Amino acid sequence: MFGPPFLRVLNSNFVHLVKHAPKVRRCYCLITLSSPLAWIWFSVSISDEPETLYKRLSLLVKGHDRAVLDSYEFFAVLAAKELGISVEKVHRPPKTIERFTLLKSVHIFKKHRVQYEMRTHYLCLELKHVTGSTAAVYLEYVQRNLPEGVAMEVKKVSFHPALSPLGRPVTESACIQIWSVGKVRNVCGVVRTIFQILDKETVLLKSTTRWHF
Amino acid sequence: GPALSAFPCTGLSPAAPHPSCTGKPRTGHSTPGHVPPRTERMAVDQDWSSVYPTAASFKPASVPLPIRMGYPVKRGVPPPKEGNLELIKIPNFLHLTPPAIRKHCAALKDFCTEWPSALDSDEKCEQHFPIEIETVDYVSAGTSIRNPKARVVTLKVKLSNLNLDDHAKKKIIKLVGERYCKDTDMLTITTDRCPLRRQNYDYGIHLLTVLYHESWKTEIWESEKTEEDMEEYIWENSRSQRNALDTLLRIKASENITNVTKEELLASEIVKNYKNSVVALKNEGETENNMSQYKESVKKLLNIQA
Repeated sequence: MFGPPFLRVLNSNFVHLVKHAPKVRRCYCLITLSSPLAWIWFSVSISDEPETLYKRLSLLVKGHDRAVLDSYEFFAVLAAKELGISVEKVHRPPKTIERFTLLKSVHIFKKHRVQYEMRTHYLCLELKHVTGSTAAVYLEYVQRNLPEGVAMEVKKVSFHPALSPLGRPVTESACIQIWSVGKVRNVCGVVRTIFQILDKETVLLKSTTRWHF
Repeated sequence: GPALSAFPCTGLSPAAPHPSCTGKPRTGHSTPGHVPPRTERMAVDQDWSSVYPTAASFKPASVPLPIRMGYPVKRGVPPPKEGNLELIKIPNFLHLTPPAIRKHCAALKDFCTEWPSALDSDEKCEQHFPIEIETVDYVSAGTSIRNPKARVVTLKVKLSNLNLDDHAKKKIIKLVGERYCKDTDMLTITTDRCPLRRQNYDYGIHLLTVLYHESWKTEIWESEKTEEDMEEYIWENSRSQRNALDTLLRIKASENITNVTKEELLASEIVKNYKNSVVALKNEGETENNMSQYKESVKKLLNIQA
C-alpha cells in the first residue's frame, strides 16, 4: 500500500538492508496421521515487500489457573529460543480477584448471601527485535497452542519509514484537476500512484471539490 | 472325528465356556473382554509425539504416569487417574513436550528471517526510525474473534528527531496540548476514530504530517502573541528591564554622570548578572541557589554593601 510519499528513507545503505530482507510467504498444511507428525510445505517463497520490524513484542497471557500459565511460559520461552528470538523479560504481574455477592435464594432471605470470585493470573513475555516474518510465525505457533480458557494480548511496537531529511517543507502547492471516465473511488490513492511512478514527492494531498457529470 | 483331527491339539477342554460367561446372573450392562491399557505396551524410549501429536484430552490408558488428582478420599490419598474428571478438565501440555517443541520449531525455522545486524541498539533504531507505531492484538475464546479495542493505533515520536526550528517547536507543542510530554520529549498521538486499524494508522500519519507542516507556517495573527502566551520568560523588553534601566539612569543622574546610554548600561556586567538571576528565578522557580544569586545581583546593582 502507499505510505505518505513525502517520507523518504534516510540512509541508502540501510534501505538495502530493509528492502531486500525477504518477507516470507508461507503456504503449508499440517497432516496428522497415525504415523508421526508430518509437516508438508509447498514452497518457501520470498516476496519483495519490505519487512515490518518490531522493536518490541509484549505478550500478556491471562488465565484462571497458575499452573497452566507456568506450563505455557515454559513452552513459549523454549519456542522463542528455538526460533532465535531474544526474550527480554518474563514477569508475572500480580493476580486480580473480582468478587461479587449475590442473594442465595430466589425470593426474600436477604440475610443469606453467596459470594463468588474470579481470579485472573497474568504472565508477561517481552520479546525484543523481531522481524515481521518471524513474528508472524512465532505468534501463530504460540496462539494456536493457547490452552482453553486462556486469553492473550499482543502489544506490537513497530517502525515506520523514516522522515525526509533536511530543510523546511515546501510551501508552494499545485492544484490538480483529475478527470475520469466513470467513478474513481480513491482519488488520493490514484494521484499518489501517479506520483510514485513519476518518482516525485508529494507533500500533502487534500481533495477539495469533486464535480460529477 | 476326521475334521477335528486336522487341527492341532490346543489343550483346551472342548466344553470350556467363553470367559465372558461367568456364573453370575446377567445384569443390564455387560463387561466386554478386558483389554489391557496401551501403557503396558509402551517402550521407555518411544516417540511420545506420536502418542499425543496434537492437543487432546487426558486419556488415562495412554499416559504411563501414576498421576493422582483431586481432593483426598477420607483418610486416604487423591483419587487415581482412571475415571478422574479433574485430570480431563484441566488443559494438558502432553502434546508440547520439549522434543516436540524442538521438532516444530525446526520445521518453522525456514519461515523466519534475521533481524538486520545494523540495528542492534535502541539508539540506532531511534536514529533511523524515529516514529514508533503501537498496535494491540487480542486473542480469546468466545463467540466472536473480533475485539473492538484492536483498532486503536498509537504513534510516538520524539520532537528532537523532527526537523523543527524554534518557532515551529513552540507552535507544535501548543497545537498538540496534552499529547506532548516535556520530560521525555515524546509526542504521542492515539487514533481510534475509524473502524479499521489500517484507517486509523493512515489518519495518524496524516495528523503528524499536517502538524509538521502547519507548525512551520507563520500566520498573520501570530504576531499578536502577548506576554501571557509566552512559554518562558524573556527579559528583553520586559517590565523588569525597564525598571532596572530606569533606576540605574536615576542613580547616575543623581551622581551627576550623564552621557551614559542605555546600550552601555545593558552591556555592563551588573545588569547582565541581574538579568541572568531574574530569568533563572522566573523559569526554574525559587531555589536556594537562585535566591542567593538574585540577592547578590541586586546588591551589586543598587551598590549596597553588606
